[in-house]
Amino acid sequence: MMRIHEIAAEECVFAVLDAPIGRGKHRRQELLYQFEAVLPQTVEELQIVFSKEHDGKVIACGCRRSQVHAFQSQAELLIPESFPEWIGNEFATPVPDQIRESLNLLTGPFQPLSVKRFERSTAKLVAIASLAILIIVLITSQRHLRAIQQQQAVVDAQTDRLFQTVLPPSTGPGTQPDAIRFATLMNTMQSTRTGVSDVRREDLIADLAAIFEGWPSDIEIQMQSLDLGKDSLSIQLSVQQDEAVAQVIAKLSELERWSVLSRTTTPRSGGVDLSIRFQRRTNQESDS
Amino acid sequence: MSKTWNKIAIVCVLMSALGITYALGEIARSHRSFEEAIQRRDTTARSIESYRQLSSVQQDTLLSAKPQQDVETRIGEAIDHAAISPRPRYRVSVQGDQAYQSTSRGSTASRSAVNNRLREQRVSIQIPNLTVKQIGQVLVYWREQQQVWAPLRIELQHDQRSTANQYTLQMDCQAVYYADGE
Repeated sequence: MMRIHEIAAEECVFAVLDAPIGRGKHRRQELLYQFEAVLPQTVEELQIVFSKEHDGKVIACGCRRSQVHAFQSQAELLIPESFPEWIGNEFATPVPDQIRESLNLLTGPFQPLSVKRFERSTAKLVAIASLAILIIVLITSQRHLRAIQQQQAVVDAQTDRLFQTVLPPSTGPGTQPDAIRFATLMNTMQSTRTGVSDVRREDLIADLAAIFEGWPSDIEIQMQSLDLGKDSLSIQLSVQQDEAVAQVIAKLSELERWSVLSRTTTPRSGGVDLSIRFQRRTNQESDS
Repeated sequence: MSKTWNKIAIVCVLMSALGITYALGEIARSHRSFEEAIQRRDTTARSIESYRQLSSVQQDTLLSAKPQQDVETRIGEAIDHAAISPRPRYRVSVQGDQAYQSTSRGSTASRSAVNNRLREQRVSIQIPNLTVKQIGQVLVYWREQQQVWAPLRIELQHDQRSTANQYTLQMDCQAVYYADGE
């Protein structure tokens, strides 16, 4: 509950001053200069307060400091009981009572002790509360951090296990990190599996197997040479019996994927040398 | 006295504000680090899956320009596979290499980037004194156990001097190699 004390107007000095142009600190300075000019004593002896502006003027109220000091522990509000009569004459309109009530002398160095105590308590409370909040936040954040770090450790362990499935065991402290070892391994793998399929487009070994499948194996033949390329095939052989040459030619002419380009027969003692050149059939030829 | 307490309160509030800001910053940093760890794990899992897919495919490209060493190793393996004894004295002639010219269409940008670092290498292999069966075994091994050296030409030449029915197998092969660092 606020204690209000009204001080008799005779114990105060009043002045009606022109409203200052400045604001804040300048406003008070300006008003003090004006007030000092009309005071019988120096401003240092007085506790001085100024009212709000009314009709372009400001009421100044001063009271002896020693007198104000006596009320510092007894009241929260020390205001003049009334204004001298002449003050009302200085204004065109009546001075509202709020102007008088706003002239609290217990301000600045004469702030009431109860207010000072309240402010001190508030400051203590704010200090303690902020420290408490800090401690709570730090404890909570530490718990949260620990939880995140534990989860991260689990994820890191999963990553390590993934690496272990493909990497050889590390050989000691000088071993490169798993990520680098894996990158090296991956680079090697990518460099050796490039999918250059056009190099292996022709499967000559399968072609050779197909040729021997169609080989006239029931006839006595001595193969001298066989030269198989991507598009050409050349076979040189010796047939022991002259009458079997036609069968050999007929059989080899049936080779799948190959068509005879030329053939040469050279009789010799004890048989016939046969040389046949083939050309690979195109897909269209094979189909027809 | 009151002013002192006001100052203390202001200092406490500032300390709290700083402490809370620091704590929140640490949590945010920790969250980022955790998300990065998850991203790292997922990327690793994808990379390992790619690695497994690649490793299930046979090697089709040499890694470095040491063709003779590689091809000789493979011939040795093929001879071992065919259980040829005594081991024939094979010969490997390495020919010049050249930039790889891909004829495959629809190459992607990454494939083109790989192709730019690929080179072709040709070698000629001669293995004498093989029976028809041994030739078959060597060729089966060559076809099924390796994808690097693709035959461009196969020649069988009867060994006139041998009393047995033996041939010299000559294969001209081509490999693509990854010219790392060139």
